[in-house]
Amino acid sequence: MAQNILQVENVKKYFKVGKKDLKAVDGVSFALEKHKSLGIVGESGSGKSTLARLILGLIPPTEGDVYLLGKSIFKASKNEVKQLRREIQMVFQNPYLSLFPHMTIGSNIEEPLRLHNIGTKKTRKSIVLNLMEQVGVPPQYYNSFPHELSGGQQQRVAIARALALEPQLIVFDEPVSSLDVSIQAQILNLLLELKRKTDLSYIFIAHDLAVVEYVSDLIAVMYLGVFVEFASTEELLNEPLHPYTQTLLKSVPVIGGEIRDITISGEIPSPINPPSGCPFHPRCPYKKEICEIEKPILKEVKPEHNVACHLY
Amino acid sequence: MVENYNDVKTINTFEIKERSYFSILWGRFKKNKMAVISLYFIIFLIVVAIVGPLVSPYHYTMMDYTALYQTPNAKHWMGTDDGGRDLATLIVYGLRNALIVGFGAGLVEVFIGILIGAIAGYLGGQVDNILMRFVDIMFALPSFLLNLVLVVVLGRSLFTILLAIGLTSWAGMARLVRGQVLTVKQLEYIEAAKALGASNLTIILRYVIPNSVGPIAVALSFNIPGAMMMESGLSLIGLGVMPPMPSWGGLISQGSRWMLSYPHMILFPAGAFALTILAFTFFGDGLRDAFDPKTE
Ligand SMILES: Nc1ncnc2c1ncn2[C@@H]1O[C@H](COP(=O)(O)OP(=O)(O)O)[C@@H](O)[C@H]1O
Ligand SMILES: [Mg+2]
Repeated sequence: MAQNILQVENVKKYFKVGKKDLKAVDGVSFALEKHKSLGIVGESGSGKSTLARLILGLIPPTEGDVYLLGKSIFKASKNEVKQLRREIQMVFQNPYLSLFPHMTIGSNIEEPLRLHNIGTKKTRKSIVLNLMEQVGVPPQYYNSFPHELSGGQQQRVAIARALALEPQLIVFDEPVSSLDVSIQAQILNLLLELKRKTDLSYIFIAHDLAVVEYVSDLIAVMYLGVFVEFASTEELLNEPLHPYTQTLLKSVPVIGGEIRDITISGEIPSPINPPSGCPFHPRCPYKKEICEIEKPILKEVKPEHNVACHLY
Repeated sequence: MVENYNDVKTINTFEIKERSYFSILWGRFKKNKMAVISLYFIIFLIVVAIVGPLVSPYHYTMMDYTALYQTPNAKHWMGTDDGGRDLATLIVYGLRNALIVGFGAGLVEVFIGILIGAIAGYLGGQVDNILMRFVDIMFALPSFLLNLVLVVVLGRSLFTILLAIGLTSWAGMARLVRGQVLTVKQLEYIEAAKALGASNLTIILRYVIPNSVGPIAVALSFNIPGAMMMESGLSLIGLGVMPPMPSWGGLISQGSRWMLSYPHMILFPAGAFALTILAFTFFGDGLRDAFDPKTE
């Protein structure tokens, strides 16, 4: 068995809102092999960022566990956690807010090396300049401040900072959502290039299937805190099984064409008052009686194709 | 990707100088010429306040009935007052007291403000509600009257006056600090720092403080002259430091009585007072520019 770089076991995250629980992530399990890229797609509020934070160990789970290279990030000692941090990094949606505003571009990228006492001042500088070259940020920007760069350049800097520790896994949380469409493609191509040239694995989060399919080997579709479908990209695009995935695919803009009919009805329900049974049943055209009562679990219905739906 | 940290190809084709945080701040600060002049002037004032009393041949208690109301001359650079006291010496002592009250009250204010503001911001919830209600009340009370009451209760020494001013002026600082804590707490770069492996202490020292100290320092540099004016106000109505210890407010009120016949008696203290207040205000402007990354 190839070693899983990441193993997520039934993680849940409930936020207290007043006296009620907001079930942001409500039981997600999956494993990711080395050198694979996973795309997670879902509407805003479906729990993607919360899941990303759990995977990074930035917030404690209500239940479940996350194993990075076989080690639980939540049960590890302080020192072990610091070591694990070298193996997994994150790139955030808004690069301007995630870069250190009072530090130059050079210092921003150098910061992880400093924090982990890697190299001398001089070698760190060479590493930083190499990283800048690698992500396509001209060296003249070394002494600039984040606010002096364009959004696309800022995101490249954030990616360089995430690469500095040579992690095995990077989680990109909607890294192109705040960028112009023309810049989006450049950043996506940078990711593909990184994956080709190195043995990086990554998780790519977006609310737009068209973006995700371009850069992912596997795709998970998230809805109200759970994975409703999880399959290889080819499988999922050719034969979407979950009704929600099917509606998503129908609403994917065809490049150069117009947006096709969106048959999905209603709003995404609130995670404070989630529907009983299957979270998608109020909007599902194929709803059966059991869907209102029993929550379907994610099961493998074909090789490399998992779906959580009572139809299968 | 860099294959090995020790085996990095060197691409320092051109020399790139490092910029430290301080040099960056200074670079932005010095773009504001008035602020730079003000900074030098404030340093000059501090030196004068320390050295002046040591080198002056006079003392603020030294009366000389043979030299009343003298206009500026070689022996008395700023002339003398109605008791024949050397006006320059009085102003230097007044300066010293103003600086002590200004910085001292500022310190008290920052200490209480950071304490209350940070606790409210970090803990939130009910603690925040109660503390902020208290801050609202402090904010609404007329601070001059509050000061009067406190000075009457505590006494009229330099220390009690700066304490009274500090105790009555921290509400704005508490609000500011709370806002800073709330903002910085939820900024993505704090989360990014955590993901990079920074400890809580590192996060506070390297990212939270450098990004929140700016507004606090700016507010302080505006509040120092505020405290000086409060002290002068107390002196004007005769509730400042005990005579014969000179204070600028006292000198100005005394000078105003002789304004028409001996204008130097008001011009010098009022001028020194105005210049000092202005210098702190301009300095605050420069600080604000310095801490704003968009100044470059
Ligand atoms: N710290 C928090 N406290 C309370 N609720 C939160 C918190 N973080 C996220 N949520 C809620 O959890 C749900 C999922 O949020 P999020 O993970 O950000 O979704 P996504 O990234 O898919 O848009 C949302 O309803 C959001 O309001
Ligand atoms: Mg999100």
